[in-house]
Amino acid sequence: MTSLPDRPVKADPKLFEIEEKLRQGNYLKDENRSLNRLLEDDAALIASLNMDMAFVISQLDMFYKEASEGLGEPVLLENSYEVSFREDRGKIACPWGDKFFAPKAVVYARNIKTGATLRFSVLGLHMLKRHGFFQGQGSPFRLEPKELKSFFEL
Amino acid sequence: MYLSYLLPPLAIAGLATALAIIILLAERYLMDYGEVELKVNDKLYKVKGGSTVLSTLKQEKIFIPSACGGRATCAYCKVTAVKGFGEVLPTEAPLLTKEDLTKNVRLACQIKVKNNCEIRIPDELFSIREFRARVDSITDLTYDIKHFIFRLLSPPEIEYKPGQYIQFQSQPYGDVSDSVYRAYSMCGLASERNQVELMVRLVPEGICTTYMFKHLKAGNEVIITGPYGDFYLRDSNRRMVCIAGGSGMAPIRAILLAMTPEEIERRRPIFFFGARSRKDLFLVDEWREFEARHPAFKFVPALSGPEPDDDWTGATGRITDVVAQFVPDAKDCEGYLCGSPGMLNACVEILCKLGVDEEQIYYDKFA
Ligand SMILES: Cc1cc2nc3c(=O)[nH]c(=O)nc-3n(C[C@H](O)[C@H](O)[C@H](O)COP(=O)(O)OP(=O)(O)OC[C@H]3O[C@@H](n4cnc5c(N)ncnc54)[C@H](O)[C@@H]3O)c2cc1C
Ligand code: FES
Ligand SMILES: [Zn+2]
Repeated sequence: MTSLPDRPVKADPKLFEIEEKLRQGNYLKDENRSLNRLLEDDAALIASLNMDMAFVISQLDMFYKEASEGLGEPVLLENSYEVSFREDRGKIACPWGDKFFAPKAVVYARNIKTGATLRFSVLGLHMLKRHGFFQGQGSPFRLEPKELKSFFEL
Repeated sequence: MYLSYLLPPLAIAGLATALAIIILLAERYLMDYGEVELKVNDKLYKVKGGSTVLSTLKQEKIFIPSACGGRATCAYCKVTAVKGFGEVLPTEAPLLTKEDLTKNVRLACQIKVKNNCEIRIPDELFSIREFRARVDSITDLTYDIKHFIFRLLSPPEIEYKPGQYIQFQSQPYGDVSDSVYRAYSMCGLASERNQVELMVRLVPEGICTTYMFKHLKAGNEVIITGPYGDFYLRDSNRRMVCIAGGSGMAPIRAILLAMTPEEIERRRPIFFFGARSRKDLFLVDEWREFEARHPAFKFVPALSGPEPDDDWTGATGRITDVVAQFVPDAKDCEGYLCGSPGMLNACVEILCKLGVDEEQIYYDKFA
């Protein structure tokens, strides 16, 4: 079991500023909990699901790399997953203010055996990796831990 | 236990936020900076002090690019601060590179005009205007690309170089409480100065495109600013290799439609349009007519994954392979590209391999 990398310090005052930016965008949507609480709850959920997040992140990273090289064409990965990439023009800044500008791109993945599908954006992957942020309930790009677990059959 | 652990930091953070709000309110309502002088390049403006450079300049009808509405997240609004702005602010620092810091580049949406001060901006920004416009028509080009025509109300005309883009301001809708600003390339005839035409592709869950596709209706009023960008036709005798995918057709269309018959004869443009299957193709008939009118022009639509019932007899495969097949020697060519960053990289690479000088490959760098 690996914990999430670079998790923010509890009740870091900067989180209040970040939370404000997240609420102006579509990152928290109908989330009632504070950002700090949400980060804690999701970390606890990952622990209770006994998920190896380092494995999940390395898989998502690999999907991103392989899918982006397909330039929009579906790519088959070891007969286990099919991934494809959709990229629009423009960049989107990470709301954490860490100078990370993601391409406006989304990876679509399908587990060939189970038929389960997964969608994540390049920004979403970055926020998960660097900030332990899965996004709020109802947010269109939330990465739901339970769905990740079942997608990767963990 | 849990609460007692959280309370002290929460209290400190809460206090800090409260203090920041008090300072902000005091500054807004109690501080009067009066009239100050703001020098922009060689021009001097007498302005009311106290607001950010971005909004002060907007009052003076100078529109600095902005995609985040001044929230210090897009980094589009960079200007050179010559004098009068003090230290870099914590809100700006994350978006400024080392090079920016050495060149005194700052975020116009964060720094404030409080005393006589001076900034430098690229000269092109003086010709940018804010337009009120009315939606004239919205037409489907494919299942996920629409053609928008906006009639300009005030000012009534826009002057731009074909290939340039505007920024469109969306309005709050549903549970999106914010306006956002997004760039869209103009795709119409630049000589029709009273209107702006766009080709917009729906981005699933995208804030602005969802607004434009689901909420914007003919007759609605909108705000656009522009023109922006340095993607336009360069003057030369070289053959033009144009490559686009999806809504990337927009600026290429504007460039080609604006060329005179003599220019087309001289530059012999070839336009590669990449799509996955037939359902992603559009305006094919228009380009075939253009071809018939201009024998020196060639249109090559190419499908990378045609469906069995597409009945496709045209070019197939990756757009880069199709380009290499049609233009094996591109030494005398110039490239005009528009599409996703991944497609741009692949096309730059293939054009260079085919002999095009990288300096002569043009595309929107901001994209
Ligand atoms: C110079 C230039 C010219 C352009 N011209 C055109 C044109 O002619 N036609 C055209 O259709 N487009 C054009 N674009 C693209 C356009 O500006 C927009 O970027 C595009 O339409 C998407 O805007 P949106 O608000 O709908 O999507 P956004 O809301 O900005 O979302 C886009 C992407 O950001 C990511 N994202 C957003 N929210 C989240 C979240 N909560 N969590 C994780 N990831 C998230 C996802 O990857 C999503 O797909 C141009 C861009 C540039 C820079
Ligand atoms: S306007 Fe977006 S950072 Fe200044
Ligand atoms: Zn980040």
